[in-house]
Amino acid sequence: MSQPVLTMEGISKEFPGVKALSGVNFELFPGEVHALMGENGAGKSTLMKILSGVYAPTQGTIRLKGKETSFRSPLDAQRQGVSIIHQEFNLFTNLSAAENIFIDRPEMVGRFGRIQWSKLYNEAQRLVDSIGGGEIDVRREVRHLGVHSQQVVEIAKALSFQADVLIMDEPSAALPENEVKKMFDVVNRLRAQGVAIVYVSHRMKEIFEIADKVTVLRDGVKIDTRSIEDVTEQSLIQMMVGKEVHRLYPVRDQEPGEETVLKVDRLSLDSAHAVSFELRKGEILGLFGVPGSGSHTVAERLFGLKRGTGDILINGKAARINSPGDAKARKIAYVPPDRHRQGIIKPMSIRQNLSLPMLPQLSKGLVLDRGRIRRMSEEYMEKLRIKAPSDEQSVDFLSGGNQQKVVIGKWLASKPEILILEEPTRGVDVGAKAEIYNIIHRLAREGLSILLISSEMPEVIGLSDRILVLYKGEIVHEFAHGEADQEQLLQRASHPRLEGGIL
Amino acid sequence: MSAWLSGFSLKSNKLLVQLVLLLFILVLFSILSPYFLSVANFMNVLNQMVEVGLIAIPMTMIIISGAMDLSVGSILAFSAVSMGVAYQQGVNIWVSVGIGLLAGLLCGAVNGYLIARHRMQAIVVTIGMLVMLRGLVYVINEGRPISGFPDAFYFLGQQYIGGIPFNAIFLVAMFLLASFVMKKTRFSTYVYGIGNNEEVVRYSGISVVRVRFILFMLSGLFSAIAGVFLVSRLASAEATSGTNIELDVITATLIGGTHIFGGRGSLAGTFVGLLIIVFLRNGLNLLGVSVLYQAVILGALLLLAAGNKKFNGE
Amino acid sequence: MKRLLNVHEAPIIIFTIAVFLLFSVISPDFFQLDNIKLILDQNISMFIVAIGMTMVILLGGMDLSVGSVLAVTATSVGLFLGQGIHPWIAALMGIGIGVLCGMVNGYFIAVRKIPDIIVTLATMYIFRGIAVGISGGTWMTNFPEGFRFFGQGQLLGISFPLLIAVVLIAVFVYLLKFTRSGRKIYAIGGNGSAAKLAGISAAKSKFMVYVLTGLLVGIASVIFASKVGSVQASTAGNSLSFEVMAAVLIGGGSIFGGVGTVAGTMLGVLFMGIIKNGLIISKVSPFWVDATTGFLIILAIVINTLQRIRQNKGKEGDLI
Repeated sequence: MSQPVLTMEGISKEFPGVKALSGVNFELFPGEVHALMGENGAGKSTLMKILSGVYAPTQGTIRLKGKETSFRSPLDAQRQGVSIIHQEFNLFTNLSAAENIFIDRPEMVGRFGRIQWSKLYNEAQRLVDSIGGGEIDVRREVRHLGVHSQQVVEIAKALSFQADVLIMDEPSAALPENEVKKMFDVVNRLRAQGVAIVYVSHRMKEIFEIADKVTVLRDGVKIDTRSIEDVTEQSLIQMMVGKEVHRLYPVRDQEPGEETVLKVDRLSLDSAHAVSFELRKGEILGLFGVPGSGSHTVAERLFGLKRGTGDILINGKAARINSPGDAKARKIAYVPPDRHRQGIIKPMSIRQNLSLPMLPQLSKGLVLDRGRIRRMSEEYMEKLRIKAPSDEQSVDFLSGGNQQKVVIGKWLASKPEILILEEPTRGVDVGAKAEIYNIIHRLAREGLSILLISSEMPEVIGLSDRILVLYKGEIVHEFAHGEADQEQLLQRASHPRLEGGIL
Repeated sequence: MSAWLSGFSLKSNKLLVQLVLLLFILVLFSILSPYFLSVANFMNVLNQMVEVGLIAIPMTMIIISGAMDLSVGSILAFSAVSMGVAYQQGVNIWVSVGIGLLAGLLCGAVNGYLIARHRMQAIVVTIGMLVMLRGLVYVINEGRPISGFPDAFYFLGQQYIGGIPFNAIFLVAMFLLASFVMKKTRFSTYVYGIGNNEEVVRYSGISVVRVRFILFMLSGLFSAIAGVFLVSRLASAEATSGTNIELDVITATLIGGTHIFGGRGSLAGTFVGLLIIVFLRNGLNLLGVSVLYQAVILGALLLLAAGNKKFNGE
Repeated sequence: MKRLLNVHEAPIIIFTIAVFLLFSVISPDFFQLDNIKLILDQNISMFIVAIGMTMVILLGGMDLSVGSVLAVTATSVGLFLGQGIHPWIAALMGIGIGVLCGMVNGYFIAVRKIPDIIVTLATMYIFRGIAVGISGGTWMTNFPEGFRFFGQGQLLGISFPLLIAVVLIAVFVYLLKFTRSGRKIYAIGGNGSAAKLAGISAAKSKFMVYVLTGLLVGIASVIFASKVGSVQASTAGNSLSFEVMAAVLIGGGSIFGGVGTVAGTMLGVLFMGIIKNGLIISKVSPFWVDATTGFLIILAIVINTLQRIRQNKGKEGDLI
């Protein structure tokens, strides 16, 4: 029985107001592929950030090959042998693959400070070949390489630091189907070289195919670590999901209307995938998918942020939506997932943020109608219960929940017919969450048709009338009202369309 | 003042530093030169600050929106010379003025098209226009100044009303008009919004492209108007008109509290910045300091304004 | 053949040859050995300054002040010579002034973190003003015999300035291709955040690049002053920064940074030199030269932007 290459004991991480990780223990052995699973917010990314040197743990110890150590920076972690391959690569696309691997390395410099290019190219090719990337010409600029090859370059980069531990964050997310197998080959070669791999993924099929062990996190705590032979998909899902959460969700007391408000036909998400669905009046339609499933792209397409093919029919009439302005004119509203970057303008006041989309309507000709703006702002401050001393205060000082309400409010003011909510309660405290859920319910009751895109399962299940499940750009299942539970939902979202029932 | 923007510190309503600096300059030159503190001199200053002032108006807005326009001087010359050549060809003077303004608008539209619509880098595009237009100006007038305009035309740049130069009155009127727009219309909210967070403005269903396009067209238009006034004042349209004017314009804007990265600034601030620059130049002129030495001082001021928190931070 | 066409510098090589042939056809005076020598000779200073600008643009930055640095350096050298200082010493001191200017730029850009456009816009005026100031408004002329060597002398039968230019080109090609510092420049310009993650200090590289540019401009200005024989502080190097920037962009450099080579830039300078020379020999109005320069800048940016869009489209459709 070999010694673990990495041991994390009692790791806790606290941020102001939130405890992301509590007393997590994690052990990694050489040559093992160890899957790290958990729902969004379970703590996976915090754990990864600690391991890769971005954060320091508030408590706990890290041991590399038996010796206690700490990481002062991502570069430091790399030098100590722990590398991470992010979902979005950190490559210099203008430089060759070889140079990406060996950028700024003293070892490649010979006499007179001269870079030894032949040595650099040979070494790089060797590393790349060792993981099966033989067809990659390391002299070529990275921008000419396909996604899989770029990933190989990133892995080779990690190897060049003699990585003992390699963290792979959703490695198959950017890869087309046919390249996932190639990626597995690479992982197997790494395994044979004795590299330990932390494999973070939502995709069940892959986990069962490639992992030796699996650790499940939930709410910042480690639930269990098991050998892959000792678990089934059912048991994994149960571990990830835990018990049903307290009733935050109001009871749906009204059936959605009959008429179809929005019909989407072969709406392209990228060159190879398209979706079709319908949204009825007063309905809350949930759209669930793990990161990479295309759920975000649906929103982008419907709101005119991205172009593509396919038909959008609103109340039966064809609509051309090529910009957010078009969408707004068609009475579509969008509450985006990243309120800091897409939802609010920080230095501006609550009032200014609330009125932004509707300024033309809140003006008398060219001049802003201060009175109407003030009244509108006060109206929505009250309707949504936005807590602040005055609406002239900057949104910067509001809590996450209140900021989110501002984003919702600014769109409600446009009196939309269709409201797209994406991750509406991300980073919002429990109290505000409950309030936002009430708001959503009330809106649906008032006849607003809502498309709820969320990766939080309890939220999607608790609020939606129907749920569409996406996997890699396709709708793979539809749950009728009351049909879904967290386990089934996650299962459907982790596979391509399953024939028949659940495996 | 209304409550719409009172909590809105982006407007840098505190112009204390700038006003103190202005006062300091006024006092300093009053002491150093006997000719400084006279009505005649002040009127002279007002008369000469019009071109820089006019261009500074859209420049302020462009910088607030997070961009920059370095081609203004060349647009000024291009418009001036276009007007001159049209007049030389026998076109009625006021129609010629119209042609000049159109020329400026056209240049602004080209800038807007490349920068707003196609998202090219404003700095480099406007530098390219700066060089190209300047070259075209020389081609059009073959390096020879154009003069001999009708008296009615000189009214714009040389006539005084009630003891105050007409062009200064025009400038103040423009500033007031622009201030009105920047305080009371949604356009200004869009401009500040884009300068702070372009994404959010776009996600709110507003056409960022259209706002930017308008800004560059305004810059072209105002540069053209400045050109017309310059020709009227100097009675001559020269190929070198407006050379290096961007230094004064940008320095005035930044000293006035507009943040180089965008999102903050005000026209009132720019106006004070403008006064600082023109009185500084005037004082130095009276002391016999060469124009190019003046540029050194202005350049230093620009660095100071761009790098110093007091000017562009709170 | 396809491989050759894929060389990054292929477009500029083709353009240069095309323009060369064009003017040869248009005017018989063009295709003369003397004329070709003239083209090279007139552009030596620009070749040298463009080396520096290549590095600046590779970093994703800009330097508008190079023309003014040339002015202040050349004027200073004139002054030193006027004081009776030995030509070689005067030249070295002048180069030192160039380095100093580079350090001023570097300080405000890398240390104070003021945007490079603003800094170099300001120093463009400041240095020019200083140049005029120290020249006292007069032309710098009557340089001693010994000084003429820099711009007009010969070493082993080859023009001295040409030799210097070739040496500098070789040095900086080496720097950019074979040293860590050089490769760091490409990294920073290519992906600033990845460079930071890799522990590369953008501030240090930026400072170094602006100082080196100052050095190169200093050398170029000594050659310029020596060649031309007289310097007018208010106009020397007036549109230098724009022309050099155009040369870098035309030579394949990307305004976004991370892409470009010294070789390509040299071709860009040659290209513009041929056009200038050709236009003059064809008796086209010299005023068209400036207009063409500006147009070429805009064209280069348009091509840059289109290239970038094409690159980004090529990525695998990212499904989110």
